[in-house]
Amino acid sequence: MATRLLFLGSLRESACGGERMVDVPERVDSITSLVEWIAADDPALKAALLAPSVRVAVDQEIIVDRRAPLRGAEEIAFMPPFSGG
Amino acid sequence: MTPTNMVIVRIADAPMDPHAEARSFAERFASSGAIVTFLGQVRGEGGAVDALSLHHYPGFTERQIQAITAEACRRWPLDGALVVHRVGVLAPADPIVFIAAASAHRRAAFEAVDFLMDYLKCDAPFWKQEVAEGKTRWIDPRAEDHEDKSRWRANELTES
Repeated sequence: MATRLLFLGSLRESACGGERMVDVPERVDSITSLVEWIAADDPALKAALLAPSVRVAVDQEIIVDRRAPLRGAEEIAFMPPFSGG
Repeated sequence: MTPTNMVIVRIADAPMDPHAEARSFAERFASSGAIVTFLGQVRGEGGAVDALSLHHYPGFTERQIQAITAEACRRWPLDGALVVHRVGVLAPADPIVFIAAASAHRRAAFEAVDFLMDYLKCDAPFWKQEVAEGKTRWIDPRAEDHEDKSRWRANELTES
């Protein structure tokens, strides 16, 4: 199914765009495997997305365990540390 | 459970009028003995900063701020609380955040506004770019803001 990926803050530069729609393959079943798939040809992006300080939200809920099952998500957001308002 | 009409949170992508916000908040909470307000303005850093560009995660950011504000209403006996936060491009001296709290007595309102501001600086999902000397760069969190936030945890421990 089509999933919206969001790259917030400075991750927008790393991902060459703040937003993209992707068709996530069945075999991609966790955040970690999603990053492996998105950044298969981009080690710098992979490192940026897997940084421990990056928070991930699935359908606008923060998830803590990046290995947890990922099914049917409509929106996944990668967020670098908040710089405050 | 916190009644939903007590907490008002708005993200504004156009200039805000903090005086109008303060007036309408005070009218709304006319029966509260104490109204405390805070206005955060963009610092110009003596001319070093040309502009700030503030980004958020629409929907998610509002809900996170609502949760923090609802927590303030649980920790202190507030009649109501308001947070208005800008996003977009801002110039030095522009209002960036406005917070108001209403309570029967002043201590709760002062502490709640202080608490909300400390948490907004650390935990609210905003990302900031600074424009200076023709260059744009992303700004990292300040260590001091995280120290400020830990004040409230220490207070929690001593009160119980």
